[in-house]
Amino acid sequence: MVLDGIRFCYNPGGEYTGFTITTSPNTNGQWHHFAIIKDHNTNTITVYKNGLFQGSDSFTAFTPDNGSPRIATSQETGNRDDPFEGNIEEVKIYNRSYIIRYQKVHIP
Amino acid sequence: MLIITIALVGFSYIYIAGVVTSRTATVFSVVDVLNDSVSIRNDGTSPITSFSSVSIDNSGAVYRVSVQDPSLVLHWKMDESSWTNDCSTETVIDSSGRGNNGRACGAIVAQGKFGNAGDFDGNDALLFPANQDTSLKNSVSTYTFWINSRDNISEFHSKRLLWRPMFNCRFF
Repeated sequence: MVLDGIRFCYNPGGEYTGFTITTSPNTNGQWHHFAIIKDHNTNTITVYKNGLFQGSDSFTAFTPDNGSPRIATSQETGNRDDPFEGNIEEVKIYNRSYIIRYQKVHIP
Repeated sequence: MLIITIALVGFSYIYIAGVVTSRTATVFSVVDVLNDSVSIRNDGTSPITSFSSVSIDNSGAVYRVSVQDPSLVLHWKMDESSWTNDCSTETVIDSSGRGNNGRACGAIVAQGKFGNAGDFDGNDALLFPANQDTSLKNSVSTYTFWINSRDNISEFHSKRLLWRPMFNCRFF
Protein backbone atom coordinates (compact mmCIF):
# COMPACT_ATOMS: atom_id res chain seq x y z
CA MET A 1 0.00 0.00 0.00
CA VAL A 2 1.34 3.38 -0.90
CA LEU A 3 -0.60 6.01 0.87
CA ASP A 4 1.65 9.30 1.77
CA GLY A 5 4.94 9.26 3.14
CA ILE A 6 5.09 7.48 6.42
CA ARG A 7 6.66 4.06 6.38
CA PHE A 8 5.90 1.55 9.04
CA CYS A 9 8.17 -1.22 7.99
CA TYR A 10 11.07 -2.33 5.91
CA ASN A 11 10.55 -5.62 4.25
CA PRO A 12 13.23 -8.30 4.14
CA GLY A 13 15.49 -7.82 1.17
CA GLY A 14 15.24 -4.09 1.24
CA GLU A 15 12.15 -3.76 -0.85
CA TYR A 16 9.73 -1.05 0.09
CA THR A 17 6.79 -3.12 -0.92
CA GLY A 18 4.34 -2.37 1.79
CA PHE A 19 3.21 -0.33 4.73
CA THR A 20 4.20 2.97 3.24
CA ILE A 21 1.40 5.22 4.23
CA THR A 22 0.31 7.97 1.95
CA THR A 23 -2.71 10.07 2.60
CA SER A 24 -3.81 13.45 1.44
CA PRO A 25 -0.96 16.01 1.66
CA ASN A 26 0.47 15.65 5.10
CA THR A 27 1.02 19.33 5.78
CA ASN A 28 3.97 19.87 8.00
CA GLY A 29 3.53 21.80 11.20
CA GLN A 30 0.17 20.24 11.90
CA TRP A 31 -0.80 17.43 14.20
CA HIS A 32 -2.27 14.31 12.68
CA HIS A 33 -3.64 11.25 14.38
CA PHE A 34 -2.93 7.82 12.95
CA ALA A 35 -4.36 4.43 13.77
CA ILE A 36 -2.96 1.30 12.16
CA ILE A 37 -4.66 -2.04 12.65
CA LYS A 38 -2.59 -5.11 11.93
CA ASP A 39 -4.44 -8.39 11.73
CA HIS A 40 -2.49 -11.62 11.39
CA ASN A 41 -5.68 -13.62 11.11
CA THR A 42 -6.54 -11.98 7.83
CA ASN A 43 -3.01 -10.74 7.01
CA THR A 44 -4.26 -7.25 6.48
CA ILE A 45 -3.22 -3.82 7.61
CA THR A 46 -5.70 -0.97 7.81
CA VAL A 47 -4.87 2.69 8.22
CA TYR A 48 -6.87 5.58 9.60
CA LYS A 49 -5.73 9.18 9.58
CA ASN A 50 -7.51 11.75 11.71
CA GLY A 51 -10.23 9.23 12.28
CA LEU A 52 -10.87 8.62 8.61
CA PHE A 53 -10.28 5.35 6.80
CA GLN A 54 -7.33 5.68 4.41
CA GLY A 55 -7.00 2.19 3.01
CA SER A 56 -6.03 -1.37 3.70
CA ASP A 57 -3.68 -3.87 2.19
CA SER A 58 -2.62 -7.44 2.63
CA PHE A 59 0.78 -8.74 3.64
CA THR A 60 2.54 -12.06 3.44
CA ALA A 61 1.81 -14.09 6.52
CA PHE A 62 4.45 -14.13 9.24
CA THR A 63 4.49 -14.90 12.91
CA PRO A 64 4.40 -11.81 15.11
CA ASP A 65 7.57 -11.34 17.06
CA ASN A 66 8.80 -8.60 19.26
CA GLY A 67 12.18 -7.98 17.63
CA SER A 68 13.58 -4.57 18.44
CA PRO A 69 11.08 -2.16 17.03
CA ARG A 70 11.77 1.51 17.22
CA ILE A 71 10.14 4.77 16.42
CA ALA A 72 11.38 7.47 14.09
CA THR A 73 14.46 5.87 12.59
CA SER A 74 15.76 2.57 11.38
CA GLN A 75 18.98 2.35 13.31
CA GLU A 76 20.47 3.57 16.54
CA THR A 77 23.66 4.71 14.82
CA GLY A 78 25.16 4.85 11.37
CA ASN A 79 23.16 5.18 8.20
CA ARG A 80 19.73 6.53 8.98
CA ASP A 81 17.71 6.64 5.85
CA ASP A 82 14.71 8.91 5.75
CA PRO A 83 14.29 9.42 9.47
CA PHE A 84 11.26 11.16 10.83
CA GLU A 85 11.76 14.75 11.96
CA GLY A 86 9.15 16.35 14.16
CA ASN A 87 7.06 15.46 17.16
CA ILE A 88 5.31 12.28 18.21
CA GLU A 89 3.17 11.67 21.22
CA GLU A 90 0.46 9.59 22.79
CA VAL A 91 1.73 6.34 21.34
CA LYS A 92 -0.65 3.51 22.15
CA ILE A 93 -0.78 -0.15 21.30
CA TYR A 94 -3.91 -2.22 21.79
CA ASN A 95 -3.97 -5.98 21.41
CA ARG A 96 -7.24 -5.86 19.54
CA SER A 97 -8.73 -4.20 16.54
CA TYR A 98 -9.60 -0.69 17.54
CA ILE A 99 -12.29 0.68 15.30
CA ILE A 100 -12.18 4.41 15.10
CA ARG A 101 -15.72 5.58 15.72
CA TYR A 102 -15.02 9.25 15.93
CA GLN A 103 -13.89 11.57 13.20
CA LYS A 104 -13.09 14.90 14.76
CA VAL A 105 -11.21 14.51 17.98
CA HIS A 106 -9.28 11.54 19.25
CA ILE A 107 -8.70 10.17 22.68
CA PRO A 108 -5.14 11.11 23.62
CA MET B 1 -27.80 15.84 31.33
CA LEU B 2 -24.72 13.70 31.54
CA ILE B 3 -23.39 13.23 35.01
CA ILE B 4 -20.27 11.29 35.78
CA THR B 5 -18.89 10.76 39.21
CA ILE B 6 -15.35 9.50 39.41
CA ALA B 7 -14.25 7.91 42.63
CA LEU B 8 -10.63 8.13 43.62
CA VAL B 9 -8.95 7.11 46.81
CA GLY B 10 -10.52 9.36 49.37
CA PHE B 11 -12.04 11.75 46.87
CA SER B 12 -14.77 11.94 44.33
CA TYR B 13 -15.13 14.35 41.47
CA ILE B 14 -18.17 15.13 39.48
CA TYR B 15 -18.44 16.19 35.88
CA ILE B 16 -21.77 17.68 34.92
CA ALA B 17 -22.54 18.70 31.36
CA GLY B 18 -19.13 20.12 30.61
CA VAL B 19 -18.30 21.51 34.02
CA VAL B 20 -16.15 19.77 36.55
CA THR B 21 -17.40 20.45 40.02
CA SER B 22 -16.78 19.30 43.53
CA ARG B 23 -13.12 18.66 43.16
CA THR B 24 -10.35 19.92 45.30
CA ALA B 25 -7.43 19.19 43.06
CA THR B 26 -6.74 18.79 39.38
CA VAL B 27 -6.86 15.07 38.88
CA PHE B 28 -8.57 14.56 35.57
CA SER B 29 -9.31 16.47 32.41
CA VAL B 30 -12.33 16.18 30.20
CA VAL B 31 -10.69 15.64 26.86
CA ASP B 32 -13.61 15.28 24.53
CA VAL B 33 -17.36 15.18 24.51
CA LEU B 34 -18.91 13.78 21.39
CA ASN B 35 -22.40 12.42 21.20
CA ASP B 36 -22.62 9.70 23.83
CA SER B 37 -18.91 9.58 24.44
CA VAL B 38 -16.98 11.44 27.10
CA SER B 39 -13.23 10.99 27.26
CA ILE B 40 -11.37 11.74 30.42
CA ARG B 41 -7.66 11.73 31.00
CA ASN B 42 -6.22 10.95 34.40
CA ASP B 43 -3.84 13.78 35.24
CA GLY B 44 -3.09 12.59 38.73
CA THR B 45 -0.69 10.12 40.19
CA SER B 46 -3.35 7.84 41.62
CA PRO B 47 -5.30 5.51 39.40
CA ILE B 48 -8.95 6.21 38.83
CA THR B 49 -10.50 3.29 40.60
CA SER B 50 -14.08 3.46 39.50
CA PHE B 51 -16.83 5.45 37.94
CA SER B 52 -19.39 5.43 40.68
CA SER B 53 -22.27 6.50 38.48
CA VAL B 54 -23.05 7.52 34.97
CA SER B 55 -26.46 8.76 34.05
CA ILE B 56 -27.75 10.24 30.84
CA ASP B 57 -30.68 12.64 30.51
CA ASN B 58 -31.10 12.37 34.22
CA SER B 59 -32.92 9.12 33.68
CA GLY B 60 -31.14 7.42 36.48
CA ALA B 61 -29.88 4.68 34.21
CA VAL B 62 -26.49 3.51 35.25
CA TYR B 63 -23.93 2.45 32.68
CA ARG B 64 -21.04 0.23 33.44
CA VAL B 65 -17.84 1.63 32.04
CA SER B 66 -14.29 0.40 31.95
CA VAL B 67 -11.79 2.67 33.59
CA GLN B 68 -8.78 0.96 32.09
CA ASP B 69 -9.10 -0.67 28.71
CA PRO B 70 -7.47 -4.07 29.26
CA SER B 71 -6.52 -4.24 25.60
CA LEU B 72 -4.26 -1.22 26.00
CA VAL B 73 -0.82 -2.80 26.36
CA LEU B 74 1.41 0.21 25.76
CA HIS B 75 0.74 3.89 26.30
CA TRP B 76 3.51 6.41 26.04
CA LYS B 77 2.04 9.76 26.99
CA MET B 78 5.49 11.30 26.69
CA ASP B 79 4.63 13.79 29.38
CA GLU B 80 7.85 13.25 31.26
CA SER B 81 10.01 16.34 31.78
CA SER B 82 13.06 14.61 30.30
CA TRP B 83 14.43 11.22 29.29
CA THR B 84 17.75 9.52 29.83
CA ASN B 85 19.24 9.39 26.37
CA ASP B 86 21.46 6.35 26.51
CA CYS B 87 19.35 3.99 24.41
CA SER B 88 19.09 1.63 27.35
CA THR B 89 17.46 3.27 30.36
CA GLU B 90 13.70 2.89 30.16
CA THR B 91 12.52 6.39 31.01
CA VAL B 92 9.68 6.73 28.50
CA ILE B 93 6.95 5.68 30.88
CA ASP B 94 4.25 3.23 29.88
CA SER B 95 0.94 4.23 31.44
CA SER B 96 -0.85 1.04 30.44
CA GLY B 97 0.32 -0.75 33.55
CA ARG B 98 2.14 -3.41 31.52
CA GLY B 99 5.59 -2.02 32.12
CA ASN B 100 6.47 -1.51 28.48
CA ASN B 101 8.63 1.51 29.12
CA GLY B 102 10.59 2.90 26.22
CA ARG B 103 14.23 3.87 25.76
CA ALA B 104 15.27 7.20 24.28
CA CYS B 105 18.07 7.50 21.76
CA GLY B 106 18.59 11.20 21.32
CA ALA B 107 14.94 12.16 21.37
CA ILE B 108 14.09 14.95 23.75
CA VAL B 109 10.88 16.15 25.36
CA ALA B 110 9.13 19.18 23.86
CA GLN B 111 5.76 20.83 23.95
CA GLY B 112 3.16 18.59 22.37
CA LYS B 113 -0.51 18.55 21.54
CA PHE B 114 -1.50 17.17 24.92
CA GLY B 115 1.18 18.09 27.38
CA ASN B 116 4.61 17.04 26.21
CA ALA B 117 5.74 15.08 23.18
CA GLY B 118 8.87 13.45 21.86
CA ASP B 119 10.97 15.64 19.58
CA PHE B 120 13.00 13.94 16.85
CA ASP B 121 15.63 15.72 14.76
CA GLY B 122 16.37 12.94 12.31
CA ASN B 123 19.08 11.34 14.38
CA ASP B 124 16.83 10.20 17.18
CA ALA B 125 14.74 7.20 18.01
CA LEU B 126 12.65 5.64 20.70
CA LEU B 127 13.24 1.98 21.34
CA PHE B 128 10.78 -0.45 22.76
CA PRO B 129 11.70 -2.15 26.04
CA ALA B 130 14.42 -4.72 26.00
CA ASN B 131 12.09 -7.28 27.54
CA GLN B 132 8.76 -6.72 25.95
CA ASP B 133 5.47 -7.88 27.24
CA THR B 134 4.15 -10.77 25.15
CA SER B 135 0.97 -8.82 24.49
CA LEU B 136 2.96 -6.64 22.10
CA LYS B 137 3.07 -9.47 19.62
CA ASN B 138 -0.58 -10.30 19.56
CA SER B 139 -2.15 -11.58 16.36
CA VAL B 140 -4.29 -8.47 16.17
CA SER B 141 -2.92 -5.12 17.22
CA THR B 142 -3.81 -1.48 16.82
CA TYR B 143 -1.18 1.26 16.92
CA THR B 144 -2.27 4.84 17.44
CA PHE B 145 -0.27 8.03 17.79
CA TRP B 146 -0.15 11.72 17.01
CA ILE B 147 2.58 13.13 14.80
CA ASN B 148 3.60 16.61 13.72
CA SER B 149 6.21 16.51 11.00
CA ARG B 150 8.67 19.31 10.30
CA ASP B 151 9.24 17.95 6.81
CA ASN B 152 7.04 18.11 3.81
CA ILE B 153 6.22 14.45 3.63
CA SER B 154 5.51 13.08 0.21
CA GLU B 155 5.30 9.76 -1.46
CA PHE B 156 8.84 10.11 -2.70
CA HIS B 157 10.27 11.33 0.58
CA SER B 158 8.51 9.07 2.95
CA LYS B 159 9.67 8.88 6.53
CA ARG B 160 10.35 5.90 8.68
CA LEU B 161 8.14 6.10 11.66
CA LEU B 162 7.65 2.66 13.13
CA TRP B 163 10.48 0.39 12.34
CA ARG B 164 12.60 -2.60 12.99
CA PRO B 165 16.29 -2.81 12.19
CA MET B 166 17.63 -3.26 8.72
CA PHE B 167 16.73 -6.20 6.52
CA ASN B 168 14.55 -7.94 9.04
CA CYS B 169 11.84 -5.46 9.60
CA ARG B 170 8.30 -6.56 9.81
CA PHE B 171 5.27 -4.85 11.12
CA PHE B 172 5.74 -6.57 14.43
